[in-house]
Amino acid sequence: MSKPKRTRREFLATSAGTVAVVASIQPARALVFTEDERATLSAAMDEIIPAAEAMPSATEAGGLDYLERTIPSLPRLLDQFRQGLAALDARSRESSGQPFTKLPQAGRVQVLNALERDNSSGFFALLRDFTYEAYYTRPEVWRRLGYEPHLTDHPGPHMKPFDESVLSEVRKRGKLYREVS
Amino acid sequence: MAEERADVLVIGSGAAGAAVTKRLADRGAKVVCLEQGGWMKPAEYPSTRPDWEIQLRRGAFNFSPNVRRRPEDYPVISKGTHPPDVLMFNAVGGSTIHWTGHFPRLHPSDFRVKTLDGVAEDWPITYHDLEPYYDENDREMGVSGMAGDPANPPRAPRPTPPLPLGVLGETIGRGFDKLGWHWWVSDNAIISREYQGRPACDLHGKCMFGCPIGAKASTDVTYWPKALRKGAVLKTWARVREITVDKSGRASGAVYYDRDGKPHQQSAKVVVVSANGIGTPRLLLHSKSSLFPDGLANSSGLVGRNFMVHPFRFIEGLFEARTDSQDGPFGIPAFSQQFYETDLKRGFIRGYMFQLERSFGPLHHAWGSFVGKPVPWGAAHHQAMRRRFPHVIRVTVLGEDLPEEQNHVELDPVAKDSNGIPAPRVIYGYSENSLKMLEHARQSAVAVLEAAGATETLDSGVIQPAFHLLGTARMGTDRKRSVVNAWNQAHDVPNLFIVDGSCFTTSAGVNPTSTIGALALRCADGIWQRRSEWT
Repeated sequence: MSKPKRTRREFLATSAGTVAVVASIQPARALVFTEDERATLSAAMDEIIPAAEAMPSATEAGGLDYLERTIPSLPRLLDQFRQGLAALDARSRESSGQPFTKLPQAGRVQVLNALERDNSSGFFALLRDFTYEAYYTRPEVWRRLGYEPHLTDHPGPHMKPFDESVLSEVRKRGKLYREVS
Repeated sequence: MAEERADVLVIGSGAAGAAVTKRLADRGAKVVCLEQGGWMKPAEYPSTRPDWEIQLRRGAFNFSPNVRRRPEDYPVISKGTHPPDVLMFNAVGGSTIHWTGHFPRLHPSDFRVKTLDGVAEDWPITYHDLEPYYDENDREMGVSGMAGDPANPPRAPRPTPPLPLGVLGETIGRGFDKLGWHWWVSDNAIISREYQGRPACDLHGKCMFGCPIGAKASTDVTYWPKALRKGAVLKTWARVREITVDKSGRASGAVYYDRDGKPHQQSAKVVVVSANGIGTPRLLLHSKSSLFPDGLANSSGLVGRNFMVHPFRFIEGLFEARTDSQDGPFGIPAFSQQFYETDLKRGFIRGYMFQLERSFGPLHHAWGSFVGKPVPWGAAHHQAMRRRFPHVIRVTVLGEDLPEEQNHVELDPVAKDSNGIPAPRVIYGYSENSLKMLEHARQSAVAVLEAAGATETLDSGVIQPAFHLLGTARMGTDRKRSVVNAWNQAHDVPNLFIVDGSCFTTSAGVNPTSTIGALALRCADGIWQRRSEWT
C-alpha cells in the first residue's frame, strides 16, 4: 500500500486553526438592541428554553449575546426582530395591559402560545429557531447533553469495527433481484 | 479571444466530467475541461468550526445555490405542484463536494422497465454493458463495502472493507432480521483504509460540508489529480454561455466567460456536456442557432423533458438507549431493498429502498431534523430534547421516479445569472404512483423501526422534492423519443456527447452517482473508439 501524500496530522498542522476562525465569527458585542428590547428578548428566550433538569436557561447560556453578535451579519434580520419584539409587547399590553417583561411566567407563556398559533409574521419560528441556535452551539450545553462534536480538525469518534456476522440471517434468505435475459 | 483547439472539450468537472477527462487523458487525447467554479480549499470546510450546523440553514455551504449565492452559482427557479428544492454545487468536483458518498448500483431490471413492467422506456444498454465500468469507477473513486448482497448481482470485492455500522446500524439490522426483510451493509465512496494516497475515513461525519481529509471521494481528490498529471487542462471560473456549431451542424466548441466577464472561444473536435440534470438542458436550450432553432440536439423536443428527482420521505424512530447517529460518516451504514423490485400487490409499480442514514448534531434535531418537527419549547423542552438526542434512528425512503414529459427544465424568461445567461426554471409534480409508494414506505419504515425497538416514530410526510437531477437528455435507441444513443452521442450532432444525470432513461430507486461515473467512463471509451471520425 502506498503512503498517503499527506497524513491527517500534517493536515492538522497546515489548517487555519479553529481558534482563529471562531474569533473571526465572534466579534466583541456591539450595541444592537435597545435596553427595552434586550429585556423583552431575554424574557422570551428564557421561556422558550427555561433553566431546568440541570440545564441552563437560554440567556444563562449566553443566548442574548450570541444573537447580538450574529444578527449584524444577517441583513434584514434586525428589522424582523425589532418588529417582532414590538408586536410581542403590543400583544401583551392588549391582552393584559402590561408589557411582556412585567407579566408573570404563566402570562408570558400564554402570549408566546398565542404568537405561535398565529404565526402570520413568521416571528415566533424565527425567535424559537434563533434561541435554539444560540443554545445548541454552546460547548457548555454540548457537555451537559453528552455531545462530543468531533470537529474535523480533532480526532474522530471511536466506533466498533464492522463485524460481518451481523449479516448471517440475511445471507440465509437468498437472492432478491430479478434476472434479466 | 480564441484558444488552442482541443481534441475533446468537457463542460463540467463533477462526477461525470472528471471521469471522462481522466479516461481520455489516459488514452492520450488532448482534453480541456471548463468549470464555472474554482478549486475548493478543504482546510476551510466548515466542519472544523463549532458553528458547522448553521450551514444547514444559511451561508456559503448551503446545498441550494439560491441560498448559498456564491459568485459561481446560478439561480434555479422552481414551479409546479411540487416545486423542487434544487441542490447542487459549483466547483472543481461539482456536487461530489457536498454529496454523502452513497454508492449503490442500478439493478439489471432497472434497465428493462418497459419490457418487464410496461412503464417508461428501456435503457439502450444493460447492466452487463455497464458492469466493468462500475468496477473501474469503484477503483478510481475508492469504495468501502462488502460484496455478497443477495439483493444485487455478485460484484467484485470492494476496494476497502465496510465502515463501522455503529449502534444505529446494528439496532436497525436486528429490526430487519426480526421481520425477515433484506438489509445489507452499504457501499460508500468513502474509504475505510488508506487508498491511492488518500487517508482512511476518521469517522467524523459532517460529510455534506466537504471532507477536509479527502477520505470521501469528491472528484477534486480522486479523478482530477490523476487527469492533470496526464496533461488534461482544467480551466476554472469558466462559465459556458453556449456550445457553438459549424456550418455542417457539428459542434465546434464553446463560448465561455472568465471571472472578469470576458468572453473566450474554446474550440474542439468533440464536445462533452456534463453539467447534470439542470445545467445540461439549460446549456443545450440556450445554444440556439439557425441550424438548431429549438436548442442543440433537440429535434426530439425532449431536451429538458422527463425531469426526475427521487421521491424521498424520512421516518425517525426514538429509542430508549443512545443510538449516537451523529457519530460516523453520514454516508449510509446500511440499506434495505426489500421493496425494490416491482410487486403490483403493493398498489404501485416499481419500488424503493430504505437507507439508514446517520445524522447531524443537537441543533439540527432541536430545529426539527429531517422530519421537520422542532423539539417543543417551554417547560417540557429539556425532557423532549433528551428523548430525541442522541436517541434517533432515521430511515430514509428513496423511491423510483418515472419519467413524465410535463416535468421539465426550461429557460426562465426573467431570471439570469451574473453573466446575463437565462436561469433554468424547473416545473415538477409527484405522480400518483410516487405518492402511493411513499405511503407504503411510511408503513414499512414504521414497522421496521418498531421491530428494532422504537418507542415513538416521527414522519416527515411527503417532502419537497430535492437531491438528484435526472432524465432531461435521456439515452435511447429511437431518435424521436430520446436525445442521445447508447454511447451518449447526441442523435442530432455526431461529435456532441452528453453524460451525467440528464442521460438517465429512468431514475431507478437508488442514488445515481456510481452510475453517472460508470456511464462517463463508458462514454469516454466510445469517444476514443470513434477517434477516426474526429476532424
